[in-house]
Amino acid sequence: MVDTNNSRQKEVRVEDLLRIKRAERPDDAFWNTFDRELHQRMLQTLVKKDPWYVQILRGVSSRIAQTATVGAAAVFLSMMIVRPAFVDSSGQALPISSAKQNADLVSGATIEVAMSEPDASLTPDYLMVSVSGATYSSELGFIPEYAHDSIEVSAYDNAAYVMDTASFAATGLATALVY
Amino acid sequence: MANSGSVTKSLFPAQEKTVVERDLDWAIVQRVQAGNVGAFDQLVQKYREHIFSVIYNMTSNREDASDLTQETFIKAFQAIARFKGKSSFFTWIYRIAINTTMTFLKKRNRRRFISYEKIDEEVSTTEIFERLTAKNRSEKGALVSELQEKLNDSLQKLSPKHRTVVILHEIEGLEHSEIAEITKVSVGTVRSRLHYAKQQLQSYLQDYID
Repeated sequence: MVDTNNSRQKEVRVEDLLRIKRAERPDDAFWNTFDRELHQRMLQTLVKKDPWYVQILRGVSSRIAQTATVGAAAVFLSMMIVRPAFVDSSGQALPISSAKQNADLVSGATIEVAMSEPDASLTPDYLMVSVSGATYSSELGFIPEYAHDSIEVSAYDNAAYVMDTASFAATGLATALVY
Repeated sequence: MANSGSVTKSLFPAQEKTVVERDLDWAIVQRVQAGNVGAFDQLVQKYREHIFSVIYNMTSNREDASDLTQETFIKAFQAIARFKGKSSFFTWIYRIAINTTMTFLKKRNRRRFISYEKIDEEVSTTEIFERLTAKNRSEKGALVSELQEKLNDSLQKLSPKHRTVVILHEIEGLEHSEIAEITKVSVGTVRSRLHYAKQQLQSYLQDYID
């Protein structure tokens, strides 16, 4: 029995051979070089700038992500604000154009637009005057070979009227827009 | 060096010590994450020999192993901010080392440059060499270099997956569960790969085995 154990102990197995690999170690000089090189590489990693194309890609991707986020938020908000206008209290969407409106459009009938009529009882604080080049032509004493068009403008007290544009404020005239 | 030697003993035998090591590592990692870059050097000193050993036995090349070990630590340093401590640091760094080496081996393809490290004379290795010398009746110096060459050659004949398991278990002394965690396979797969790899090695190293 003792002999069997001894012979087993003297057997060489795969595990024993692999144990030799554990003893395969570099010397101290190797580790000194290793540490120095590793520190250098780590420092390079800390201070290394990315290549220009990586920087551009990173900038573009972050800008895209930012824009997409803002866009998505804007769409979401507009959906939240606009959507209730098309939804009645029962939650059903209202038709945007009715059948009658469609028929009017097809037939070419005049569509009346509701507008407030000018109130005759109100006294305007301006005068409507006709301005034409003919006035100045006659003052200068010559008869033009052409006809002057005239436009109606309102004349008012420029002290009581504040204009955003300096040129309009200086003349004291504002063009009456006629649609 | 002395520090890493103590780690070799304390890493594997008792589970309690592994837990203590894990906590110690996590404390260092947290210091690095807090901005103490110098603390990372403690982790390098602690694991560099283990990582080098794994990579060296995977590649059988000293220069490649040195480069890949450095690359492993740089990758770990760059990613340490994202390390949450769900696994132990040693599992994490081993995984980085294995993945880095696997990628390298795929690129290196079939080119093999074998270089050998010096074998430290230890009681265990001396005993094995004595047995082998008695058996083969050859001179020890010649036997050492011959066996070293044969061992590296045999390991390189294994597939990278089988080689990884053998190296982690037989050379690094990791448990099956630890290897399973590092390689992200089941314990059963680890056992099966180990069994197959040993059978292969047994046939390659027939001349030295009783």
